Amino acid sequence: MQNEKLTDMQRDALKELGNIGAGSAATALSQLLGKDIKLNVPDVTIIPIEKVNEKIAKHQQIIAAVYLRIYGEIQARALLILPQDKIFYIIDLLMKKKLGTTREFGENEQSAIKEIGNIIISSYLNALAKFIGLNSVPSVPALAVDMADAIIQTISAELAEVGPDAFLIENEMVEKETDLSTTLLILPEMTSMKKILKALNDTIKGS
Amino acid sequence: MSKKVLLADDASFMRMMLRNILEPAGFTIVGEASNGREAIELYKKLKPDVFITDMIMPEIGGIDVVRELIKEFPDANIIICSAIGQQTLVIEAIQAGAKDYIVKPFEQANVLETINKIIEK
Amino acid sequence: MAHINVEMGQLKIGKYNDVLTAYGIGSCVVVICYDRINPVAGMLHGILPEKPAKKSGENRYINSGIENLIKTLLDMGVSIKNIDAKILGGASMFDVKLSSDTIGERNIKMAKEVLTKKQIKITGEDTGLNYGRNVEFFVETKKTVIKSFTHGLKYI
Repeated sequence: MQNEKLTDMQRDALKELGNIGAGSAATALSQLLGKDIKLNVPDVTIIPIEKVNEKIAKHQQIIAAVYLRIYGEIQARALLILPQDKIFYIIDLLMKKKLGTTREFGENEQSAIKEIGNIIISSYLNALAKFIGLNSVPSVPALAVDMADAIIQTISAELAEVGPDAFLIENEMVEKETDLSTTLLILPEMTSMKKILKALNDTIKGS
Repeated sequence: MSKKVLLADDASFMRMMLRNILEPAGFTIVGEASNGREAIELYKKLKPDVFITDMIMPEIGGIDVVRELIKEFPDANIIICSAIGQQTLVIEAIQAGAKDYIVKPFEQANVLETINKIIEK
Repeated sequence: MAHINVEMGQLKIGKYNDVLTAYGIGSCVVVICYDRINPVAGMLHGILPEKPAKKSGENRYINSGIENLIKTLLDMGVSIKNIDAKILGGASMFDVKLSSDTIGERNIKMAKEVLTKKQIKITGEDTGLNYGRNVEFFVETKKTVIKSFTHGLKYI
C-alpha cells in the first residue's frame, strides 16, 4: 500500500471524526482535572514512517506517554502525550490535592497517569462507536517517560512492520490557565482507515 | 452493618478513588484485586455484598470474571466500572450477569447512587 | 571535523575526526562498524530486524543494513579482519509489553546474529532496558558517548 492519499472530502470527514472523538476525550479530561479544556482543530495526515518523528516529537523534549493498542472493529494505536514538567501538576489536579503536593513519581502516580490515558482514549472510542457504529476496546495502558523522539521512534517501528506509511489523527487539548498542552494521537491501521471511511460515508448518507 | 465491597481494577489509582468515595459513605472495602484472576479468588474467599470491577484487566477481563462468578453465585451484586461506555459492550456485560454499569470518569454521587440502588433491590 | 547525523533507516560513513551521531534511539538498534587501525567507520540506524522479500530501503533492516555497512567499508579498502563493532539501543520503552517479544529485543538479537556470522567482534554494547539513548561515535578515537534522560552519561 504505497503512497496512500486522502481526498479533501475524506480528510474533512476524518477531521470531523477526530473532533467528535476528541470532544468526548476533552470532556473526560476536563472532568478528571476540574479545568476547562480547549480543543484545537485536529490534524489528519498520511506520511511515510520515517517522517513521523519529525512531525510529532519535538527534538529531545521529555514527555510522559501513555500507549494503548486498540482492538475490535477498529485496529489502531493510541498515544496520549503529556509534558513531563507538568506531570506533578496534573496528578495534584486529578487527586484533588493542593498544587505542589506531589513531588515524586511513584507507583500510585504512574497508575494515575496511565488511568488518565485509559479514560481519555476510551472516551474517544466511545464517541466513535456512537457516531459511526464501529466498536473497539483498548488494551491495558503502558507508560514511558523519556525523550519524545525515542518513544515516537518505537511506535514508528511497530507501524513500519505493517506498512510504509502512517495514518495519523492528531488532537491537541489545551488547558489555558497553566498552558498545559496534551496531544492525543490515534494511529489507525490502513485497513481500519478504509473501514472508518466507509462507515463515515454510510453515516453521512444515512442522516 | 456496613456492607462489604470488593474492588477490582488494574489501576491502583482507580481503586483509591473508589475507596475514597465508598468508605466515607459507610462501606467497608474488604479487598482489592489488580487482575481478573485475583478478583475471582478474592470474591470466593470474601463473599462481598457488592463487587465493583473494571473491564480491561490483565489475566482475565472483567466480563469473563462476571461470567465465572455468576456460575457459582447467580445472585452476585456485580457492577462494572469501565472507561468503555460503548453500548454493545455494556449490553454484553449486563447479559453476562452484571447488575449495572458505571462509565469512567464518574461522579461521586453517581457511584453511590448505583451501588445503593443495587443493595436496596 | 563534521557531525554526521544518521537518521532512522540510514547508513553513513565517517572518517578522521568526524563524529557519527544518532538521536532518540528507542527500539531501533545502532550498529557501528569501524576499522580497528585506520580512522574510518560506518553507522547503521536500523528500525526492524529482518528485511522482508521484495523490499527496498534495505538500511531500515538490521540484517540487510549490516551487510550494506560491511560491504561499504570493504569497498573503501578496509580489510574485513580489521573490522570491530559496537551495538547500541534496542530498548523496550514502555513499562508494559503490549506484545510478548518487543521489536527492540528482536533487533538486538538480529544484530548479534549477523555480526557473529561475519566473525566481527563486538567490542562494546549498551542495549536493551527501558530508556532512550543519544549516541555519538568519535571515528578517530573509536569512543562512544551515550546520553540518556534517565541514566545520564555512559562511555564505551
